[in-house]
Amino acid sequence: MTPAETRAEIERLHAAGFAWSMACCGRKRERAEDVLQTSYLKILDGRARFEGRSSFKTFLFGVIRRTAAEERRRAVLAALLPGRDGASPEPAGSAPDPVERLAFAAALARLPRRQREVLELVFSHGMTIDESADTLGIAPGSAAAHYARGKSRLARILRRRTHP
Amino acid sequence: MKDDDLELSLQRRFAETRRADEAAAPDLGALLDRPPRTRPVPAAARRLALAAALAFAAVAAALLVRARPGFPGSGDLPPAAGRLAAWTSPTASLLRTPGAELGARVPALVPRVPVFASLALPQTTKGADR
Repeated sequence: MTPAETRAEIERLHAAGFAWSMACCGRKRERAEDVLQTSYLKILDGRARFEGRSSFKTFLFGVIRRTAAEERRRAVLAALLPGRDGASPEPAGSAPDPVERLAFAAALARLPRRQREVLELVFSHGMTIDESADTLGIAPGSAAAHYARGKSRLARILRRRTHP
Repeated sequence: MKDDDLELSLQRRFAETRRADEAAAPDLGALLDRPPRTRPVPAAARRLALAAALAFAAVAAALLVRARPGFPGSGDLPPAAGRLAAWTSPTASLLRTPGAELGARVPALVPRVPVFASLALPQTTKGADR
């Protein structure tokens, strides 16, 4: 894939990539932008190379997920010394959200990370279970289990909200 | 809630969230052109992590050395072990029998060949001119 083709693919998937980055960063906009920028730079300067073993979308989402994980580890290390030169706290959420969307995001945030990621990939990004397993670097069987557990757990949380 | 309803409800909610996120996506060109906002790890945190790693390595090395078989540590043998090793039975002398030393060394089965070189050979006299 030539650099121009890579750039074109990134442009095509940019909005979806940002939505996935938001999902990987707990819907913190500033962090999601940083993760997305770092991911793009990794791909464009060849630190992350697309080998063609999967679709470009799966590859891009995998890079974003790994970069978000690195950023989380960095944030944990920086939080060891709060108030020094660590990152300043940032507000969650992007724009003023409707109440229901915020409540759904809060319900989603209560799921374990793997379950949340599989649900996001399947429902938000239209991936199959196999594609989401490929993106997350886990076995398809594990992804199917995370999907089923996550869905029933999310349904329980939402039901409890509507019928406390 | 039936399974189909749940599926539809989740699809709708996820789609709303995704639409909102995508609408808020930053401009790609601006995102790539801006200087990377690196979040450097504080120097003190780095030092702390290094010290923790060194301490862990030291403890692991000490545990490995102690666990090595044959390490002459003071706590390797119980205190009674020395006394038990030095103990002899009061009737041990009865076990000493004549010839018992034969069992303690390998007997020489082949007798030594005598050295004849030092012996003088007899002079032959029969038929010799005197």
